[in-house]
Amino acid sequence: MSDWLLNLLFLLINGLVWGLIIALISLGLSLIFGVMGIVNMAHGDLYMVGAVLGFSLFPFLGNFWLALLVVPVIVALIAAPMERFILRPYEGYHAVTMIATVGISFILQQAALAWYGGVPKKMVDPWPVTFHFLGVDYAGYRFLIAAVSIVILAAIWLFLYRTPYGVLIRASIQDRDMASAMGIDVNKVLIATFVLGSVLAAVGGVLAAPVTQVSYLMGNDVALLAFIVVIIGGLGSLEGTLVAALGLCSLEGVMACLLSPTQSRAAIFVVMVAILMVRPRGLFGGAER
Amino acid sequence: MTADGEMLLEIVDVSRRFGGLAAVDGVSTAVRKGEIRGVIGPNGAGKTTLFNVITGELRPSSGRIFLKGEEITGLPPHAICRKGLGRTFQLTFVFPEMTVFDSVWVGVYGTMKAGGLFFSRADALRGVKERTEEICGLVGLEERMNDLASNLSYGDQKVLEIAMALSTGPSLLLLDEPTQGVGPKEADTIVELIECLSKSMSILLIEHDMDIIMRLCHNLTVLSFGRVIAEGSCEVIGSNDEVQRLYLGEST
Amino acid sequence: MALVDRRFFALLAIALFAVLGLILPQGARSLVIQMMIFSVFAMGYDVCLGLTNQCSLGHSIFFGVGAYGAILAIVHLKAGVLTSLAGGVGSGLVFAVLVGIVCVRLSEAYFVIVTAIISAVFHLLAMDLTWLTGGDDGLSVSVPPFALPGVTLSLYQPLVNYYFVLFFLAAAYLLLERIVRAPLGKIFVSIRENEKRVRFLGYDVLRYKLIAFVLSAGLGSLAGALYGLTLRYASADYFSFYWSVLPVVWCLVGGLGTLAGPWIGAVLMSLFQYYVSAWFTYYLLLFGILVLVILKVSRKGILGYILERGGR
Repeated sequence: MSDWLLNLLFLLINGLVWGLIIALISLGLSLIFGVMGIVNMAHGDLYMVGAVLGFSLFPFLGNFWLALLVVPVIVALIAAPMERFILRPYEGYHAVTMIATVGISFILQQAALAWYGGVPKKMVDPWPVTFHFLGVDYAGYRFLIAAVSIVILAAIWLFLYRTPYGVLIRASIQDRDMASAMGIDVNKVLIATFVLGSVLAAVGGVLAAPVTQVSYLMGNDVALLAFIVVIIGGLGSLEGTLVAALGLCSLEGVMACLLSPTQSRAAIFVVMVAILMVRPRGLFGGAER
Repeated sequence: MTADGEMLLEIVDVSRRFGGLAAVDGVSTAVRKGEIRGVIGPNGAGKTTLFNVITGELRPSSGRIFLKGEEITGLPPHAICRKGLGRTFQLTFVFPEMTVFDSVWVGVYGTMKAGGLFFSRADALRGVKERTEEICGLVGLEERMNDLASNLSYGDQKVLEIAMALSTGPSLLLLDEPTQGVGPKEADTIVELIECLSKSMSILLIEHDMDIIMRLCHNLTVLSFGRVIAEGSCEVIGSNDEVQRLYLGEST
Repeated sequence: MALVDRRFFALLAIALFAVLGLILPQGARSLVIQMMIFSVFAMGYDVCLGLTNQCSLGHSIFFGVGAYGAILAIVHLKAGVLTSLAGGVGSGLVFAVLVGIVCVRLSEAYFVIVTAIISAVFHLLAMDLTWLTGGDDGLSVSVPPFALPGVTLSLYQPLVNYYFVLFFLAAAYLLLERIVRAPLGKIFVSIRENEKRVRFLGYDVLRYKLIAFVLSAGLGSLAGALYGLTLRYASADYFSFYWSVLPVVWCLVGGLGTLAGPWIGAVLMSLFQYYVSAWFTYYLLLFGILVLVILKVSRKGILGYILERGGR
């Protein structure tokens, strides 16, 4: 009995840790949608890019923390021109912008395939420590993920709610035209938001790399989950995204002891449909585009 | 110039709140058959919000609305329209890539229940075609029936707005600033059109131009901060002190 | 009139296809069969995006269901060609209603995302339920001959396969043209032009959006069934995101809302895929770049551009 309970606890904690990573990625997606109104089909691939870069740079730099700092910079340098030259011209034409992100997605995936190869690889554990917890061995690295994610989430919260630039971004989520009329340089906000959102996805990728298979297709699975999280939480709602991410991932983690991975994913999907039938805007969804 | 017909629209203690703000606050009024009622008040008084609540775009936070004795509170816009309510929008809200004819046609077809939804040839439905041409002629757009809505002048688009509202054969027409932004000659045309329409339907009119209000309306309802502060015939309202104070400084 | 222009183009294309079937060598003929099937798919999708502005990213559901509906009917029910075709389309319509009921009420962005999610789940299930679908490896069948009055035909004969597909392309096109010129067509366009306004003209917009969605999905499953019957094969891959994106690209390239424009998109993309994948493994990369380039050049697509220049 106690064994089963411990197993459940283990899965729950695992789910929460994974939920924190998904929260980072989904937050990025939600921000991008909230400010820019675009459905970014390449978001999962930016996560993949983060993981691939993290995997490749880690032996190079020797230090995981360094990789965690360098990768965001590289991704920012990729994301900024992406927004400026590929997405901005189609401002307002949502279908077209979305297909443009699909085009980007194909390009990123194929580039990764060409450079990194098609074989999924596992990354070396950056912190090969194990903790003994209630009779269960728990990988130290997962605590690291949790700690880093929580720090980043807190930092984002501080940024959005306590700094002037964060206020600008939130104002633009609320009402873009009004923000523009009040003299806010919306273009700068657009690029900053897109870069921030993309970097969040990439950081999620770096953190996830040691605990998952790094492959050029890994973005697809995560993107699906991130989209479900954002839909359930409510597009444009940051609290909703966090709640939904943690809730869904722990739910999925717990269900894994009863059902197969595919069945758990399908079950999550049923939850999503059920919520949508009752609240078509998601749990916390308000702002409509 | 008074209207003594039966009660067409009854609004009972209707409010609409957004968060803490009451855009419409406890409004009660009634519009009779044959009446032209002006709804006036400063910007932000809740006039358009009131229209949105009446037509079903917004649910009232409290209160009830009756059309021809039947309750329409909380019904969706398309159901309310079917019961005989038509409206125009403040900013022209048309079908840019459709012709004037088609824009009116859609409303007429929906009301006439002419059938043949899937497989008849739309342009061959004679009844619908004739009624559409009739409405286009009534508003003065018969010359421009084949023009795309986006190619019309602003004034003509305002007229198209009215034609589209007429296409469903309403008993009560809600006009939201029908002369806003048009030149004086076009405004005159629109006013004449409204006078003509009032012979066959009741009209609820939001307007800022006091001359037009005085010329057209039987009675006025004055809104301020979502509340009705005065209601009565034009003469009575014209000599009301509070209303004067409200409009002091406003151009008439 | 716009109608004459695009009807002319469509009829010309059909006539061209009819002639090509007789003169092309086998390899090219197979490619054109594929193009025609994709044209059905693209045209159907145009009803969704081009006529009612519903950007679905889940149409691979119907393509896959159509294919499997047909293939499974042959495998398990020993059905004939025409019955399995009907089975494919029928199953597609059923799923279309189910998915539509959930999704059509959603606002623009949610609609896009949720259709994509549902499609991804179908893909996962299809890959997982290998006993039913054969997973990624798929199912191969032999297609029985079918009888028309006076003659027995087999899809294994290339010419039969070709004109079988062409027949349905032409039939589907004529059906859609009829609908577009019917009251329903005008209602669709008015929803696209200003959805909110249409509500105030007394229409229950959701009902009509659902009709458009189901119609569009029905054609998608027709395309899937034709594809399955032509290749004598269906795999879980048919549910992948790639098959949801293709119709969007076909329509954007060819011309939204023109019905026949997406055929151009399908033809061009097929040619591109066929020739490029031969010399460059990562042709999807070029595909991605091509998508960006095309969007840059013309938002109205090729036929849209032509019609505009030709003075509607």
